[in-house]
Amino acid sequence: MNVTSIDRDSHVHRLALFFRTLRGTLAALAHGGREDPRIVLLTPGPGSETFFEHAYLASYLGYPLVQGSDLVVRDERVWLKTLDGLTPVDVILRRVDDPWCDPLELRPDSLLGVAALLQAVRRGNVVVANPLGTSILENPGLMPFLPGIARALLDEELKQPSATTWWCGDEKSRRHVLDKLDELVVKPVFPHRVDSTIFAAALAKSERDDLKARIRAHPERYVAQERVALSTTPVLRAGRLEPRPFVLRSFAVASESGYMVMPGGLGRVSSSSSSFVTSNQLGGVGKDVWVLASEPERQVTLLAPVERPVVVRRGGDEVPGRVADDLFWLGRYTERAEAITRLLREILLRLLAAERSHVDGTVPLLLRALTVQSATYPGFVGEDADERIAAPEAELLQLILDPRRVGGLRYNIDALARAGRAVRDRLSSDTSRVIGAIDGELARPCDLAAARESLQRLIQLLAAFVGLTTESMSRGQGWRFLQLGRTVERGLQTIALLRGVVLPAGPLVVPACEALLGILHSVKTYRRRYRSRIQTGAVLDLVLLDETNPRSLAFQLVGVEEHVIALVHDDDSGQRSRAERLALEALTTLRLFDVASVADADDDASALELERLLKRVSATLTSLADEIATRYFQPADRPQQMVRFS
Amino acid sequence: MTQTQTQTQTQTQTRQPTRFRVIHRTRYVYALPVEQCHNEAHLRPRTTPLQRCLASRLTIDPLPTVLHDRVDYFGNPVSYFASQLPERELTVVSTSEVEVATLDLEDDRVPASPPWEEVHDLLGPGQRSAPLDAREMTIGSPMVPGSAALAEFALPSFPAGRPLLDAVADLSRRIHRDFTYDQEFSTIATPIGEVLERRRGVCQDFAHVAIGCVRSLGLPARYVSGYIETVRDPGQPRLVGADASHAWFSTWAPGTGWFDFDPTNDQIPPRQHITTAWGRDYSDVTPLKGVLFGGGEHTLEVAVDVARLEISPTPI
Repeated sequence: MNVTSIDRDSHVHRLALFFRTLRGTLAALAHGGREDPRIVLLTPGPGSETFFEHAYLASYLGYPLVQGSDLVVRDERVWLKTLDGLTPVDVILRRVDDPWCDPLELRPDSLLGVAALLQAVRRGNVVVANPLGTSILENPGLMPFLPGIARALLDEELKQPSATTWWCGDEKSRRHVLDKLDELVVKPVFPHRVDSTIFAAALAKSERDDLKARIRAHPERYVAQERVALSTTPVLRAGRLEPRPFVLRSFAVASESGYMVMPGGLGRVSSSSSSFVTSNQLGGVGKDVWVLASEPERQVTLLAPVERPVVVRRGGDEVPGRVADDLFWLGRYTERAEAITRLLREILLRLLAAERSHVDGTVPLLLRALTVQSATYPGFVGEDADERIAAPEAELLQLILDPRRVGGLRYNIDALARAGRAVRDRLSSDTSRVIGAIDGELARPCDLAAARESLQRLIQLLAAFVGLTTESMSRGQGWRFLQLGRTVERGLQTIALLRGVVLPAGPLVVPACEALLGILHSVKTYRRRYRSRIQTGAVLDLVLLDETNPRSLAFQLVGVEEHVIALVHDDDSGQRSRAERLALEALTTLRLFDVASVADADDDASALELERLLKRVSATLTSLADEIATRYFQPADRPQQMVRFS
Repeated sequence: MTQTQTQTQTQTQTRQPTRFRVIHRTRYVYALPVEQCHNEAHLRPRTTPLQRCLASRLTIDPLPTVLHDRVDYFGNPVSYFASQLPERELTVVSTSEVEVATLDLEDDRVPASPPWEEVHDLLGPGQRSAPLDAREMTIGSPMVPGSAALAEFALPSFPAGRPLLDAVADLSRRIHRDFTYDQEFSTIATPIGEVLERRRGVCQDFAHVAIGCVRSLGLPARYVSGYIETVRDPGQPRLVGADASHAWFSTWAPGTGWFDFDPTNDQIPPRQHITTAWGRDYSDVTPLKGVLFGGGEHTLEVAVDVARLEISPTPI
């Protein structure tokens, strides 16, 4: 039975009602009862251990997932920076810790916040939920007093008592804590940090004495808690089930009729069976927690029927520059990974076959092309290259597996996965799963034969990724940047491949042409057209100029131009933008190229002619990528402090 | 919230108050245009038990798009302003007229105060009589985290039973004696531990060291930001810290309230001191800070002029 069917058959409480309430509450917070308030979810970004939750929640609730750098305060209002300009923000669902929210008034070293956010809040122009400052409620110093506070304010006992906690500032409590230190967990109140919990029993005697001395010196700065035995939950590790301590994170949302508690939650499981620490920051893992209903639940979705008819509209996908940047690079890394995967597969195919029969003459050529294409010099080029070409395994494995080898396959997969995580809320869950699967390949040491299997799977996974984005992303600006990144990079990779395979061979030789067709997936097309006669001019026409061949350079450049024209422009003069001119220049240069000039003469002059063309198109595409970055990605937008405090 | 009794000081106040005009000019010049900036200024002098701010004006060039004044948690006036046009320069001039009472303390003798241990116990856990603004100043702050080294430096000034203000006066004198004023040594970012170890720094550093020492014993200390008179009489030496904003510290004693010490000049303010603001440390009351986009490298000029005015019979 798979997980999905367990979920379906177990009458799990649905969470949609909870999230609908959350959405209603947030909408009601907007000042002036705005009809359709603009709500965003503010996350610290993919570096945060809970980023997955933020991305998931944002796409489920339909809010833009934003980072501090996507927002700006102007005229004491908060605005979302999109490619179309600034859009006002009414409510911020905040997942950034209080001290990091505003580098002007709070921690000056924070890059996660929005400068002058507090001023916008103070002026009543934006509502932040939860309000800034609420983290004080998490301070363990309050815990000993909660029962008293509940009695004083509500004349009630706590509905859910917490672990008994003593504040050392009270003399009787302090004596108790110092007496029973070994049975207690000590938490500093000021400054309070998640990782500052001290398990006294785990300390050496000298450390324990030191702790006692610190408590005696400043008793008011410590609380101590009885150590509760955590429940355990089974965890699958190395093929076996083992019990792990875990804690339950539950959630509540305020509504007009009081607080609503989520019928479910998230579990945090400690990183080892002996550890009591379950914080995500310290290596704990997350678990989904289901609450079972006594009977099957009616399906509730967030797309609930509304009282008023919905105004039909298109769009709704304001793209912040940072997101465009990440999508553009997601596209580029995908193509880089694919280009290097295809070349590696071609090499391994020949190399592993050669062990059995004869040495394939094109292997050295392809190895050199690999170094050129991935820019991983010296590699199979330069001094002592012949030795490495004779025994290429070590270098190949490093290029395939080592995440620190810049330009290598694993390096590009890491970059792809990172970009994918950063824009997770923009991708379908299937697409995210495919990215996860790509990231899972070549993650462990293996030999070349196993690597070849992985390369095969990678090619399919990369195709699945491209297919899913083609099939399921709406053709908004975000999709344009992803596609632009892909076409620009595929163009550059095709050029690098031609320069790596065709040109070093001197006169355009037949084996190089064959390998080229194989890598560019164009063997069948070629055979259909020309049967088995390999001829340089025909090969170059197919991989360079044929605008119907989706692997040709011309096909990429046609795509680049189309996507660049479709980007938002702030200039309505009717003139071509600089990016448009560059795209047109690259395409026209290629279209005007006379393939006969290199096909007829099997000499160095024709190679030179080809080299000149490839260089020029490559330089134009690189300028275009720079222009896109300057125009759309706001690279200079990093804030700086006028006064440097640290 | 920060109104505290200053009986002793008021009683010893016999001379006429002094009136000062302070002009504080700050100019930033940037290598690249600043596309947008948000600023917070603690440049308008507050009113204190010993000081009245008669008038204050903030002139900002280029004109900001937003300017709003408010009062911060500590009761200091603070100005938020923002500019969202590309600019290469920012000049902020604060002009104020302040009337300051003069303490008439014989030979800088401090008022009587209880032994420091008693003050410690009075502020300790479970005690309700001491004001919150004193109790909250006993714990560490962003730029003055507690350390064993601070406690070690403090201890010789705090023998058992010594009256609090005598002990703190001694501490202030020792900082003045043992530390070298050195503008080249430290920046705002220099950690207090380094200042203590090397015994060098400027007025902010000395105030921070003193505050850290006092707090290390569970006693209250706060940071005071302000100015000091540039030249009192012709022929007298200029006081250290006069060409920029100045800083000192304050401690709290029952009966006396907050009482200031200037370790940089080994004085008990206010003599020629004008208070702008107070807080836990420099980061709470930075005269002018901001977050900006663009700008690149910058140069900074600060000029402060403090002049004694003849008191005119009519108020300004």
